[in-house]
Amino acid sequence: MSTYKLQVSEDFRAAMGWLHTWAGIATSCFLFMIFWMGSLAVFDREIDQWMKPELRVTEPPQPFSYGAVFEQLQAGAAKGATRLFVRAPSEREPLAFTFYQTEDGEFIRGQADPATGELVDVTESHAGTGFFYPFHYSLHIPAGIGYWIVGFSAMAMLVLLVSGIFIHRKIVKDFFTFRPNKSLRRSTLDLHNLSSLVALPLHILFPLTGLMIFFQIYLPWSANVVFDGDNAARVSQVFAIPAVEPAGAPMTKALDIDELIERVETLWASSAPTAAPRADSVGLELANDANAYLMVREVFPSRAVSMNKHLTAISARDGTILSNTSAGPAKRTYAWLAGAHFIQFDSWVLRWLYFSGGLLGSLMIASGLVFWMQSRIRKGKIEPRSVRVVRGLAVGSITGIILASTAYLLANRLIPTESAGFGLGRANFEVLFFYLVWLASYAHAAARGTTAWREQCLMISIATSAAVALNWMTTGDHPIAAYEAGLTQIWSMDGVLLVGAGIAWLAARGLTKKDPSSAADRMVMGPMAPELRPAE
Amino acid sequence: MSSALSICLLIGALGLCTAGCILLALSQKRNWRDVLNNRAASPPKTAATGWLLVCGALVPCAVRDGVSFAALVWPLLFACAAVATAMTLTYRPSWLKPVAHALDTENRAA
Repeated sequence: MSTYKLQVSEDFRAAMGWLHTWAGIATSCFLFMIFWMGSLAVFDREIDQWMKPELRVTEPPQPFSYGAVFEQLQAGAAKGATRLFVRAPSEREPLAFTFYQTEDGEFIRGQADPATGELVDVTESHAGTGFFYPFHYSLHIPAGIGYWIVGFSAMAMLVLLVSGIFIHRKIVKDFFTFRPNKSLRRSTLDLHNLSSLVALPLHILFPLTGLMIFFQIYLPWSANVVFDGDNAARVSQVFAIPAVEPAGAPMTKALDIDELIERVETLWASSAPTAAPRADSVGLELANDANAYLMVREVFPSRAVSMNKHLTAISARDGTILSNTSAGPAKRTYAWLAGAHFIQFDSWVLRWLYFSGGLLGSLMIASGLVFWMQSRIRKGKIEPRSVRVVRGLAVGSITGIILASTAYLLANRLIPTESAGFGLGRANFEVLFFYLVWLASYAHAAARGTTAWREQCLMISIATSAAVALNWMTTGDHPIAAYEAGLTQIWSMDGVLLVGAGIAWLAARGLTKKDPSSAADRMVMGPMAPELRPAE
Repeated sequence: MSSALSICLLIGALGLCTAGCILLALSQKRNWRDVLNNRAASPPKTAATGWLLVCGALVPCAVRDGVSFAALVWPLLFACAAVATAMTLTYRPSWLKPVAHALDTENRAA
C-alpha cells in the first residue's frame, strides 16, 4: 500500500493540518447550516406542499393553457400590471406559479389553478421555496452579507477538501474503515474521513458550482470590463431581453398567447430535432401596451441536467421573433454546472441521491467539529475553554438548526391559516418561531454542556414525530391516507420525518450510553499525529 | 425506456458499484482478516477487478439517463455503495464471509 502514499514533507503536512484545523473551525458552523438547508432545499417544492395543504393536488391537467391564466390575471387582480409571469404546473408543483408587477412596482406572487386559471388562496407561508431554499445561499442575512458569508464558506470548503487530502495519512488503507468501538476521537475521525472521501467529487462539485452560480456577485469585474460597467446592457445581452420601448398606445388586437408559445416551441424543435422542447415559464412584458411581447423560456428541461436551454422573445402584436438565444460553449458549460446545482430536472433517483449526499456532507462537517473537540480533551484535565465555546456553537449549529427547522414545521401546522401573526404576517410569524427555537438551542447548549447533544436529539425526535401527528390532525392526510390518495410527496415527507425521529432517538440513546466526556476520560491516549496535536 | 428496464439498470449499476467496493475492500489486509477472522490470512488480489466493476457501473448509468445525468448519478451511487460496504464491514462483517470464501483461493488450494 505504501505506493499510494502521498509523498509530501512533514512540514507541508503540518502546514496543511494547521490550515485544515483553523479554516474548518472558522467556517464549519456556517458550512453545516448551508449543507443542512441545501439538503432540505432538494425537496423544497415537496415541503411547500406539506406546509401549504391547498397545493396537495395530485395531477395537473394536460395540456396547460398559459393564455387562460394570463387572461384571468389581467381580468382580476393583475389588472393594469405591466409585467406578468406564469410558470407551468409540474409533478412537483401542481399549481401554476404566477407573479406580476403592479404599476407601483410591487411584485405580487400567487398560485393559479391550472384548470381554470383562477388564483387560489393558499396558506400564507414562506415554506420550502421561500425560507429553506434562500437560507441555503443567503442565510437570510440582509444587505448581501449573507451571500458573502456563504461564498467565503464555499471557498473555505474547497480549501478544506484539498488540505484534508494532504493530511490524511492512510487514504487507501482506511477508505472503508469505521471503528465505532475505538475511542471517540478515533471513531469520529473515521466517520469524517469516510463521509468526505466516498463522495469527494461531489463535495468539490457543490461548493464550486455554488460559487459559479453567483459569480456575478463574487467576481463582477470581468463582466464590468466587457460591458463597460453597464449592468443593464449585460443583463439584456445575457438574458436575451429585446430592446423594446413601450409604444404608449394600448394594445388593440393581441394574438392568442398559447398559439404564440406553440410557434416558439416549433422554432426550438427545429434546432433540436431529437428533443421536444416545452416552454416551462412565460413572461408577458409591457402588458396592455401596443408593443407587448412574450418572454418564452425553457429554463429547466426535464430530461437534461443543463438549464437555460431556450429563451425567446416574441411580439404579442404580430408574432415576430424579437430575440432568440443560442448559447455558446462557455454558457453551455455554465448551464450544465448550474443545472447540476439547481437540480430542477425530472429525476427522482438523483434527487434522493442528492439528499443523501447533502446529509453525508453535513455528517462530514459535524464529525470534523466533534473530532476537533475530542482531540483537545485530555484525561483528568479540565476542558479547555475553547472546547466549551466550540461545543456550544456546534450544538446550536448542528442539532439546534435541525430542531429549529422542525419547530418551523410545527409552527406552520399550529398557527391557524387565517392568523395575521400579530401584525407580522402569518408567514413571518412562522419564521419567528424558527429563530426563537434556534436561539434557545444555543442558550441551552451553553447551559448544558455535553448533555445538550443528547437533550436536543431527544427534542428533535419528539418534535419530528409531533410534526407528522399535527399534519394528520390538521389535514387528515396521515401517511396511509396520503398513500391511498396518491399524494406521494406527503407520505414520503412524513416517512422521512419519522425516520429522522427514529435516528434522533437512537442518537439520543447512544449518547446516553456513551457520554462523550466520560468516553474521553476512558480513552486511552495513543500516539497522536503531530499535526493534529493541539498546541499545549 | 420502460420503467422496468430503467429500474433494472439502476439496480444493476448499484449492484456493480457495491460488488466493486466489496472487492476493493477485501483486497485490503485489515478488512480481509476481519471478515475471515484470521489474523494471518493474506488478502486476494481483487483490487483491479473491483475498480473494473466500479467503472463498469458507469455503463448502465449512461444507458439509463445519458452521459450528462450519469456524471452525477454514478459518483453518488458509488458513495452509497462505499458507505454500505464500510458499514457492513463494521457491523456485519460475517455477511461478507461467503464472498470471502469464494475468493479464498489460498486456503482452498491448501
